[in-house]
Amino acid sequence: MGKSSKDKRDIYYRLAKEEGWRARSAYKLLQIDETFNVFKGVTKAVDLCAAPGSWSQVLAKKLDSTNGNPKIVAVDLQAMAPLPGVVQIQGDITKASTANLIINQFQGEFADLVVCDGAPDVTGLHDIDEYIQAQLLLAALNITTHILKPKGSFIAKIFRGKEISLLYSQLRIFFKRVTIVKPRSSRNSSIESFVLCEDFSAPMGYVPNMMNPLLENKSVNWDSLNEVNSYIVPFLACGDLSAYDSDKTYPLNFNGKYEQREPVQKPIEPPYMEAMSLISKPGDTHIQKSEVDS
Amino acid sequence: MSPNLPKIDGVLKSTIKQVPVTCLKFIGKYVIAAIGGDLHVFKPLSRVYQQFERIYKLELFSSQYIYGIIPNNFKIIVFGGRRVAFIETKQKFSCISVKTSWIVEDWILDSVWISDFEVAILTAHNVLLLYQCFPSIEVVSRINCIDQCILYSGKILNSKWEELIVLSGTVYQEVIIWSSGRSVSDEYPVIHRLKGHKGVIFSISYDEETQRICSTSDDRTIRVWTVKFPGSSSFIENWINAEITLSFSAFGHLARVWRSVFIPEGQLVSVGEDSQICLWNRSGELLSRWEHNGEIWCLDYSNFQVAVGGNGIIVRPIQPLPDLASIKLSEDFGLMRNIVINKNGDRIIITERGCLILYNNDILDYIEDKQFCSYCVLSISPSREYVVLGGIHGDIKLFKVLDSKLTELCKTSITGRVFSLSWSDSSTIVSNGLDGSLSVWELVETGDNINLEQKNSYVLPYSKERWITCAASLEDYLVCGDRMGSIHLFSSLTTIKDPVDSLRRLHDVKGVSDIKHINGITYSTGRDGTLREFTIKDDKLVLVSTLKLPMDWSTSVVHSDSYGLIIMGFHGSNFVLWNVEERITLLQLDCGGGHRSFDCIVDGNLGNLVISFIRMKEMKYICCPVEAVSHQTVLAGYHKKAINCCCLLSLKEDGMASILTGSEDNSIRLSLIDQLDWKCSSSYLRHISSVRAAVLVDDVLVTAGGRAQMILWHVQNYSGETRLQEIDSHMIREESEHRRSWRTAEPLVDPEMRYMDLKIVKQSDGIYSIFSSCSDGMLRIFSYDKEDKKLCLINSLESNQGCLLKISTFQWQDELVVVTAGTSGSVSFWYVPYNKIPQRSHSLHSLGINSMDLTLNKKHLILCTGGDDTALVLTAFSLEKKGKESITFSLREHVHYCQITGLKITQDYIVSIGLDQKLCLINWSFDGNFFKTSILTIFNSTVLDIHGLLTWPIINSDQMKILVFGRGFEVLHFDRSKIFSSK
Repeated sequence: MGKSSKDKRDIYYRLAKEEGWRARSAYKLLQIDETFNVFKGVTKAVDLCAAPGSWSQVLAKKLDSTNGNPKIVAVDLQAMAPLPGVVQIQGDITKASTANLIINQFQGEFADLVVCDGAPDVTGLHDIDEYIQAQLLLAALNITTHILKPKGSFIAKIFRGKEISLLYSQLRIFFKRVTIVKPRSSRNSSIESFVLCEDFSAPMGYVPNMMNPLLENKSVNWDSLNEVNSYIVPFLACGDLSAYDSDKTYPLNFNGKYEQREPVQKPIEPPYMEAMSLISKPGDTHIQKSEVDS
Repeated sequence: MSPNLPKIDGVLKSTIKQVPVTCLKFIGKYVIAAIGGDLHVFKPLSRVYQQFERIYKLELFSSQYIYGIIPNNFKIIVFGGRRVAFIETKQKFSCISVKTSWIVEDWILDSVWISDFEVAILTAHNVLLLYQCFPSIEVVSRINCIDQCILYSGKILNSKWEELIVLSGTVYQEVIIWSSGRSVSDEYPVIHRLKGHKGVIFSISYDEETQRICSTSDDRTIRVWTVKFPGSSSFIENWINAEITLSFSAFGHLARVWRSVFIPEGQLVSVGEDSQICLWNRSGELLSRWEHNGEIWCLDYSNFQVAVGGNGIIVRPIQPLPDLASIKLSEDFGLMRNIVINKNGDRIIITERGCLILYNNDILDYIEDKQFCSYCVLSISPSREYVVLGGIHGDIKLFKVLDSKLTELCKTSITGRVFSLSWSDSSTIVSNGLDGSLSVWELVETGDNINLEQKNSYVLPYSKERWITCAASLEDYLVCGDRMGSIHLFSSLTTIKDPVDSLRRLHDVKGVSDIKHINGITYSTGRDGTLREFTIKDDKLVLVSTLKLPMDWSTSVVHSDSYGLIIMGFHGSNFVLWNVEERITLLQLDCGGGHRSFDCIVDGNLGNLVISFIRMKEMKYICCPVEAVSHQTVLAGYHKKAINCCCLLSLKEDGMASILTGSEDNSIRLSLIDQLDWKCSSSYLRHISSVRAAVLVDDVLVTAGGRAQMILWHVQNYSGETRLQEIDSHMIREESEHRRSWRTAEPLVDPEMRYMDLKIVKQSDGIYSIFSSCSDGMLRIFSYDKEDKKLCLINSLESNQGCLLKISTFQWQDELVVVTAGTSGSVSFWYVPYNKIPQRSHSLHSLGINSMDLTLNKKHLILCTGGDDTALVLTAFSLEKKGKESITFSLREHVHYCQITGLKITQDYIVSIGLDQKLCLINWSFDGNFFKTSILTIFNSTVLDIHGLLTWPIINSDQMKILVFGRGFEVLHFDRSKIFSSK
């Protein structure tokens, strides 16, 4: 593949580079906001699994600044390049200490909005990927129950598969309104969608607990939800119809002269970086010895 | 209409599943494999070449893949996702029965037997559960590690509940070790943390023999850790106080490493996303490497064999190749020039001094012949009985080995130098002399004597290097391949000495290396790394198909009894043996590359693989049983990636369907589907990108996909077998591509357009129209004339529907109307003449339309669409005013949770399928104003990533087949009579 192939295939990839977003996913949050007005009145927001930071960028740009500067906290296991107006916390979202760090940033107050665009390392077997994505979302939901104010909103990525109605029912326990939304910038060919959870209200007797996550929290009866099929999961498209079509191939020069650009933010040290630097073709091999084999 | 449970049972029955194999296990000599939610038992047949047959199939979980098989004598625990089944088997797997099955709170990673009726289960949240599975299912105990993170992998050691050791593979770089036998005030702490990986841990295995742990990861490494026990008598104390250190990290996989298994002596086998099977020694050196035909998800080891599952199942011996023997001959003979192997495994060598040597363990015989000094061509007959030598002055001599002696049988000569000698069948030699003169010689036996008699002579057309490299006789024809890559056809029925037909530069200018007739098919292969198939019709050579081989340069195509068609060739510095039918590499051997004299026999009289070649002035030699170096197929695989499209080619009276599938792996495959079985019959790799659509009318087939590539084929029947013949192809930017120099730094402005869908319509005799929907939002119309065999783009029309995902056509009042559907969620109608943009588009979905089918109902067109917005929409269009369709009524159904990717509408039924793996069968009717619908049944398919469905009727019956495709396929049997009987 040539350098420009990805630009040819994906209009949003190209636009993101042109408009200075760290990833094309920025458009997904922008389009969700366009339709559902999710940033209205939000002054304190949390971005979970934030790297490389495109959603934090959107929050920094779009949040209401009429009553002073909004406060944005970005959390990720990995470090990411600094962003103006965004406080970064390097931490694990499954740890209580991380929840406390976030709340400290808000001077003891709760967040108005929690977003999570995190995706697992996709294996290619849809059932495992869907499961892990659901677990990641539940982990995000768990920390959200520690840091979100009542009536607050939560937006997270989900993979649509055969278990989606179960996941939907689980989220409905915590939010009065749950909608699955698909921004136009998310490809038609992708199983990805987003879940927009509004009006947070935890069930009676629910006590947030990191040591004892959702799965075994006595006040949340997951078992009663097993094999639930009766819900019609609300599903909505979002983003303007006149927006670009992420599946359509556009000519490189469709809006003026094409210019090849480097990505705004190169991937931060991917797990395979070392392997790539050591071997490049089938048959190459390298051993790192840590001890003398006896 | 509520998406509730099936109304009628047994209407749909799954008959065939071809999906990834996610788990397998050796139990004794049997291979137990999980195909979707079914368990299959394969038994080896003891023959010279081991083969497997399926002896049992148990349907276990509906649409849940199996990820674990844990045997304990005649009892087996099987798990997948959150499901567990406890099964019992009889001796030799004559019967398998499910004792009980249940659902666990969380995704299961590993399980061990604690007693005959108790099992321990490790879940993805680092929780250990002790289950009693008899007489009733009960959780006896539940403990969790203090670190409650999501795990990707886990391994439980030991079989005492109080003394279990858990090795947990986390999402983030660590393997953590904890134990059920080590708690501090009811909490189970981490006792060891193994740090070193840079990503997710996908698997952990442990070897008791060498006390080592192996973990595999996202970071493309396998890491082996040495466990040093302090020598305590207690198992738990030993682990708690163990010193665990990283022994080595091995890099060799080019993508993520899924699984590993320890084999004796601390060696390891690992498999990864790169389809490689790697064998590592104790210290992390890569000993061998094999490539599998597609994805790999699981592996197991037993008795010097590994079983690998994913795209099919293979069993492969894991010993590395025996060492090559190196033999140096006395300098008196001169340097070795050429080598061949005869049927007894003897090597026959000609040296630069003109010495012909017979060698087997020692020099058995030699003849010195000055005529063959410094120049000699050497060629062995197909039966490997005779060798023929040609010299610089035109001498030709025929030899045979008799009683370990080289015996000259006869000689002859031609004018000038003998450029080449090719055996065109077992008793015919074609010699190539000066100026392209070809002489055909036949071995004629008279009494005890064998003579060479000249039968024919031909002249090769002029070229720079004017000699043939291979030849094949077929009835009155002689087919020759030359040094310049052309194939020539000579006929003995004419007096013409020139070829009656030629395929010029078929194998590029690099040269043809072999031509053979095998089982009625003529193949050629060459240094361009392709295998071509052609036929001879009325003195013409007709190219039928081309296959790009996974090697730089192929030297021969041969038929072997155990593998069918095999290609020999070179790739880089390796000699490669490749199985055509299974598309799999049988053997790779470093020989220094193809520029040397090389010979190889696969399962000849010796039942062995024999290879000999000359390298660095030495003769190399290896002889070993074929099964010692190669794999056996337990279950054939199919496409390497998802199937995008499917098309019915023919349907026989006996119910056998011939289908075509196009895949993301760029290939097209033809398969035969029977009542309970299927078989892939051939494969075509001509697309350079994903194949997205395939349509057929009469015998005209069109396939299209990524990189704006469209190919037109004729479907032909060769002695009962369906085959494709490529007629023409089209690429939108073909011309600009040719003229473009690589030096032009400016990237092309043309888009990398993808064809998304196709329809083909016969316009008149021999004239066809092809309508294509394209990712750049264009409707492109092609025409094809059978006479001139050209595919022509006649119109490109811009829609405003985004990327055009689907296209349909229907006949209305003698005119053909085209319907397009796009990512905008709308449909548009295009009327004759197709040069105007539609007046209207009808917005039916809020997101893209991924499936569409239609039918005519009196004055209405009934359009059925399914989209990414999960809605199934039935729309009745009134067509009374020409060119002005209008919606009479539209009905939205919510029967799916995900994108609907496949639809079929008949006069009574709608069949729909989506990414939620649900197949819905809906009854519908339209009274001219309103629709009435009811769900007949819902079926959960096993296929992941479903891309669509194909249906066909069973001739003379009330039954239908439904084929669901995506990551593999599943064939369902739809019995319509069951619906009527229940009414």
